[in-house]
Amino acid sequence: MLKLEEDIRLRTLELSAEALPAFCEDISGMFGVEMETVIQPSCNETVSGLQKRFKKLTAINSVSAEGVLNGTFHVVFDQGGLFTLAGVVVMLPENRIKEVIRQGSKEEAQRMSDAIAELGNMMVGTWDRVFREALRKKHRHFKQTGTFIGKPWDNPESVLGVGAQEEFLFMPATMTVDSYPAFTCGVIFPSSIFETAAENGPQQKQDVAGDEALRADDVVPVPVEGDDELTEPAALEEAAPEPDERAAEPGPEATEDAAIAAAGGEDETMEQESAAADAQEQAADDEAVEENAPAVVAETPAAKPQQPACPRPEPAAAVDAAAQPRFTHPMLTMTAAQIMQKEAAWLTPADTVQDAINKMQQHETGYVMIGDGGVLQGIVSRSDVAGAVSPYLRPVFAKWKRPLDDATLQIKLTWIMTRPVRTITPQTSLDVIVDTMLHFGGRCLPVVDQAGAVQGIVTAFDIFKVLTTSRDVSQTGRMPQTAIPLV
Amino acid sequence: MAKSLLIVDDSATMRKIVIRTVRMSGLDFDRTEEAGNGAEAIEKLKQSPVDIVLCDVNMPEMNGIDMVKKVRAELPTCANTKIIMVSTESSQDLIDSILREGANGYITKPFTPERFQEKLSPFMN
Repeated sequence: MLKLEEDIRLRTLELSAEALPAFCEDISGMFGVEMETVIQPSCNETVSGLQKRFKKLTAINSVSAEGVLNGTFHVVFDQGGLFTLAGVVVMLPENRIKEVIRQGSKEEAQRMSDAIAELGNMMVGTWDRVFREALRKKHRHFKQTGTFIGKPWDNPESVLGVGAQEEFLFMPATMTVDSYPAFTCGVIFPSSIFETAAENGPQQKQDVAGDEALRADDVVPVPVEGDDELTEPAALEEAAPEPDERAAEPGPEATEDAAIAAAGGEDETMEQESAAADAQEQAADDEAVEENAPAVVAETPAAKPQQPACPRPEPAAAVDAAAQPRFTHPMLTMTAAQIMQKEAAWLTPADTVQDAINKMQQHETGYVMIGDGGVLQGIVSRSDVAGAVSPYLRPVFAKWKRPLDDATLQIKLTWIMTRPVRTITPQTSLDVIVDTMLHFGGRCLPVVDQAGAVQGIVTAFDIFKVLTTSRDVSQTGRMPQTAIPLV
Repeated sequence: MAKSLLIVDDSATMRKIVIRTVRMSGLDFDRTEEAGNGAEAIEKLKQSPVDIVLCDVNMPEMNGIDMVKKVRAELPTCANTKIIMVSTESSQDLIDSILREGANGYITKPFTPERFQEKLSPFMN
């Protein structure tokens, strides 16, 4: 990627991360609601990844950009966001808004299309203001070019201007409005929008280079998952500014606001209903996989939330290969009861990422069971935590840390935990455990008895321990399962 | 003295939002009318001039800028009508050009009741 193109990409992400909260603030002031957002790490995404995130109806507002950005980008809201925001705009009563969110019919969405379009128009207004203030005359204008309600993955070329397999830059976020359930939204930047800007020749380059707001030295690296260039300290050293050069930082209240937003909606009933609906859909999605799954592996009946990071589709070969156990090592006849760790660390969904980090360090484990009263609802792993917290909390990046980075420690575990949880019984044999891990990708399986109570956990490290204590392999030292401090 | 208001926007939803925001701003209008584009607004103004027009910029048939030009050029009965443009576009060049055509003010979307209060109050007395 050209450096200029990369600079534009990074600056765009940074300004987008300002525009989304600004939009929430504008809507709050305009309609007298409390609207907040939490931006999640940006990443490269595909249409199929988008479908996994949004699943049902979406509202997509397409925005034509001229200036530093040239082309069309899109702001997408999930079904919950579509109905919540449209309902607020047309001033529907609270109960009615919750009802339409629950029903989620396309006909109802079409009836609200004018409100959704106006909402998109207002969003464009906010974005235009944020980009204009930051880039001055280098930004010409944003203009709303269309509003789509439906499932963009059915015809991505037409709706989003990207091919089915084409990668695009995606900035996901969650939003909350008053006590309505939290919803997902995001910004889709096709690669061409950066390429066009960078290809505009020397004049554009001069414009960009001459603009204090867009100099490479001023670019603050926004975390982009899967972008190795950006996670290299050397690259950050080159791109990141000194603390006094950074753009105006949000005040302490921003941290608090973000933390509150991260906590999500208060309406438990709605959340449960939404979770139940998602669970049904997830069950349908997993149907083919379930047919091949070992019979002793069960799932807790919880819903799978939107992932905070970009999930990459699993290779089909991995599923096929797991059709049946194919290991013959004699140790693999051992059972879960013989190899499991009997002590599991527990937290509740309302606990925070900070609590999870503390718990992992206290218990020297990489996994925490999430539940209430011994009822397992999810699992949080070190990688879940690492994906949720801002990389700027690491000491090496400390000088670029902003208050919002601290707020990521206050994200509730309910938003990042993995669910549904695959569980095994104490009688499950090691070959099935290995097969299940390979098949489903997890490296920790809770062991539950017939009553559903968690008796322990089996991790990949427990299996390594078993294998390395065989007569053929000598062991020295302890297997390293201790969590490395995340921050 | 109570005033009259005309809201011009091609979106019925936005017209309702504007009406509500004006009410929230505490400004008192004894008559509020609506028009879906510039041409429709001109017809309404010909029949009955108003004190203040809140007008979108981008509209089908006749946009807001053309409407301002026409009002200033062809409707002497609206010489005292104050026209405030309401739009998402915040380019200073655009705002300057609209003001040059005869508009009296500019409010960017999204707006707040306070913003309406600030921009319209000077024309209420």
